[in-house]
Amino acid sequence: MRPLAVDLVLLRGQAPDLPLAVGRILAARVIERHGEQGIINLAGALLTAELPDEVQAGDRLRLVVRETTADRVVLQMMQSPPQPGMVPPPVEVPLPNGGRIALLGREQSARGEDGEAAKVVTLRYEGPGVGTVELRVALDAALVHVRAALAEGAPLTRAREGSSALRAALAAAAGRTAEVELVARPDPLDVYA
Amino acid sequence: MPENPDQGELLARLGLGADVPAPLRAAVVAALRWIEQIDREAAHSQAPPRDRV
Repeated sequence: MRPLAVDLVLLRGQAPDLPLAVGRILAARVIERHGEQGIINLAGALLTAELPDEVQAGDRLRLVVRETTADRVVLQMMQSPPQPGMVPPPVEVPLPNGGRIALLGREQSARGEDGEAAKVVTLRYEGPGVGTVELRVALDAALVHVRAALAEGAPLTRAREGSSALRAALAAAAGRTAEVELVARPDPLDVYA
Repeated sequence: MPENPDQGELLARLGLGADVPAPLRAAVVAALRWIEQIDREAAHSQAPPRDRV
């Protein structure tokens, strides 16, 4: 089924706190449709999107975040409301410190201005000290970029204090210029109506 | 940054096998080492003083 792409800047302007981690399920409603385009209500944000043929005005959609790039979010429509066990949970690997790591997604992002597509890995780390952290590691020919989302307060502050160490470690590991982005983790809501 | 065997196994269990480019695997390992370090420091700072090493 053809995915939907929505403008990230518009979406962030209307729903700045909407979590957009890969694999997240979002609820949306089709407000109107004109040809291949339509307007959807996504977490209160009214957005123009190119709609699959079978979608009509009034339909309620369940959308899975497949990819986020600098300027758009790609959403995949689920065939039907999710049943228990329908979406397999990510594999969690326990750690000796009592924490856990799970792989949330692997993807290839859209090509950038240089024509190079970045390879992206998204992980969730849960530790006794920092709680839940979402890590997105993206790599292209010239750059390695890590985005870490941590709880506001002590975890985020501590991470910011250590950001230069992460940048240096990434540059050494990947042999590329490293960028680090640290953000506050939004409330862990899985579905927005 | 070379992977040690434990890290290689961890990546494999996560589904990040040899099909993932080596620099990306190395970057993931670096990011995980970093967050584990941050986590250790945070857990240590939260522990009662008598439990701190």
